[in-house]
Amino acid sequence: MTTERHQILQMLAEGKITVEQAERLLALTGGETAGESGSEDPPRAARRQPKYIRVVVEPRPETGGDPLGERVNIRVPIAIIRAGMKLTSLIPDKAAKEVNEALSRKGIDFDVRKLDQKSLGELIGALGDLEVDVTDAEKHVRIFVE
Amino acid sequence: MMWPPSIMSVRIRRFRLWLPIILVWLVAAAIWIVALPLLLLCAILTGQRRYVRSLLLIGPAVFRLFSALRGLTVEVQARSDRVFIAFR
Repeated sequence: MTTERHQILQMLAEGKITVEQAERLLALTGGETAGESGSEDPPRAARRQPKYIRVVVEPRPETGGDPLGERVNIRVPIAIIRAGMKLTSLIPDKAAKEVNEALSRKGIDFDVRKLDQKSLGELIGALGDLEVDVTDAEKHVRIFVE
Repeated sequence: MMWPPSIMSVRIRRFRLWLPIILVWLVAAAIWIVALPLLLLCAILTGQRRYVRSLLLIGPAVFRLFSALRGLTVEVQARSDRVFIAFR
């Protein structure tokens, strides 16, 4: 995550700007970065090297939420995903077959044991664009990578 | 190489605790190194050769997973209650 993005998210967390303003600012910082470089859009994996997934839940006192309500801040290293995916190669054949059949029934034609290093890298690189922002009257939930 | 976390920091309200989990994984690694040849021998002698590959791979895989815990932090706060757990 760049410094600008971090500052914007910080301002959003502190309630200095609204979600809409943050979105516009984030879009601007993205546009400026592309414009400054003057080059083609680099691959996602090269553009960002996400290290952590952050989950933040905060109360919204300004809209009726409890100001002393629950706050959650979880930082999960992306390396856990890499390490966890490597464990899939240890799944016994019978269990893997059942999992694949269940996935297939759901319309997902995918064998988790065949996920190679390159695909995993692309998958993790794509996480760099992950941003989930959910707001209701009491809580504000953000999931992003950094 | 990425090494497993050596300290688990736990904070509950004003109570702080640093757990030297380096001891846990060092002991676990030592036990695994001693037990692995015996387990492999048992698997071969009992004709369960399909487990040999898994036995050889599971040690490094668990080590990697444990190593990946470094940097994991969980913080939950509600009113005066606060729980903070971090792997360093």
